Amino acid sequence: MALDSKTRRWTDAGLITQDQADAIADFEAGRNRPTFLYAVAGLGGLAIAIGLVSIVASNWDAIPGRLKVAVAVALVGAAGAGVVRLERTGPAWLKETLVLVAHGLILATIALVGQVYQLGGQAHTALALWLVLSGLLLTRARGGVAAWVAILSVEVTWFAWLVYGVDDAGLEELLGVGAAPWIALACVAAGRWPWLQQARPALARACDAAGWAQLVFVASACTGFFYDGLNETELGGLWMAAGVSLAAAAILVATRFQGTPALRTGGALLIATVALTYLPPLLSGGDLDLVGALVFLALWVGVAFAAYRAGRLWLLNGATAVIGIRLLVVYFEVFGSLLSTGVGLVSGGLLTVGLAWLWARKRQDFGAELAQEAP
Amino acid sequence: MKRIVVIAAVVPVVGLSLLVAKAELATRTGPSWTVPIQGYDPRDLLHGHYLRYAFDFDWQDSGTCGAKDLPEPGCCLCLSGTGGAPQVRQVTCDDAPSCDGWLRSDEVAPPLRYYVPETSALDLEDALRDHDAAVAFTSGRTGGAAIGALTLDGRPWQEVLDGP
Repeated sequence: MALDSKTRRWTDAGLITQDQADAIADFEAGRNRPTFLYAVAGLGGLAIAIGLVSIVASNWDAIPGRLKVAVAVALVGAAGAGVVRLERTGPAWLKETLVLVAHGLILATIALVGQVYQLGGQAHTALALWLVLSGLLLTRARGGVAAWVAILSVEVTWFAWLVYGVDDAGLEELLGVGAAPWIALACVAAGRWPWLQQARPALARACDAAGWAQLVFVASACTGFFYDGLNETELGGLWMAAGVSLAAAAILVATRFQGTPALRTGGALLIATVALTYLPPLLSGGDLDLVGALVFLALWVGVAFAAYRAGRLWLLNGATAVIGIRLLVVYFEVFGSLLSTGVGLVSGGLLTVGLAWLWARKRQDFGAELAQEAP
Repeated sequence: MKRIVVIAAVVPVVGLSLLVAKAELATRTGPSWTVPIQGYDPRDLLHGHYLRYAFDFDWQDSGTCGAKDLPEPGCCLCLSGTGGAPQVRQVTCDDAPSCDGWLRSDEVAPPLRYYVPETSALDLEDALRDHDAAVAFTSGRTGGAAIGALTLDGRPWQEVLDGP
């Protein structure tokens, strides 16, 4: 058993005593679950489910449309009833699963009704109806997976509406594109909302992470406009989107990013990401390669610093790795023509080794510092 | 707290049931018509699970809105006749309710989609080239079109594919 070998190794190394090793073994034995039984039962359930799905799938066209719709609505009702029951009795994981099953079934049923009755509607209305019908049920879930599914559902719906707005509803194209990051700001705002942090901590964390990830990704990508400008003359829509985003970010910083150095650093980074999302396409005419590279590096130095201030070592490591890789890319961009020569290869290799050494050394230093600062 | 969970579980069932009821009602109220259709792109009739088509209306000259023979957003179609293929004029939506039936033009602006089983797609694509296709619909009180059966030479398309 893996645990036995580990405790023996730790005992031999003097890290724990034999009594402690025995206590660990007893504790883990007490937590043992009937894994084999679970596996067999799970396989049986899976086989039944696959069999049922196969039977339905092979006869799908022969099943009358109205019957299919009736069964789908009944399944949604059954999943909802299961959630109601499990809310009181548990287990929580099964309730979470049923919430997600119901969430998926609701969308599938909307699509099925659209097909059976040839409704010919558009995706954005179906997605909005999905959120309306499923939203309250999603709030019953408390786990991280359900939180990420909820965020993804909202974002897909948001982007579907933007596409509809630009393609069919006369929304100015650059305003539509510029409005895309608003959902990321909304995610960060939701993640910093004290009520949500209290009531649904997993959802708040997922919102915060999703919002930040998108803001930093989009800001990084938009530094590409320093290389190739947008080449558009009518930028009114993008200016408007930028104004709304910056105003929203400023309000967010003023209300949610004050008090501690970590929060203030996060607030500064928020403003920086929003500014870097809009200013390069608005102001750059292109051919500013060095500026693009430096701005990218500055952004990720900011991310690394914010991670350091927040005590998030994994994020700090990731950010410094991105900085190192970007430095290599800068080297290839600037000295790319030298790569076919021995000098170019040697200097490129030396730079790679140097960066790797620096990264390995500094991440240890940072790790030690963060460990000391940890309460 | 329990009440919220119950409401959360009931809302989807009620909402989906209302969606179905609305669709059922739309197919049962208002005058019904059967109009010939054409493939929206004759080289690519079936697009995955659905047929992309356009209604081939019997356009009349006396329209008062938009083009004579192309549904335009903001206009409405005035349908005249007693079932079958109607005579169609594109008029302002204020004038439309006095017609035998009417549709908002954007409801029938091509390409329209008709969902078909994927397993029948290839056979149906061939059949659409060899037969006169038509789609039935009911024009509702608010200018919506509840799409009904697809027919080939006046017979349900499944019947044409199955038998001689």
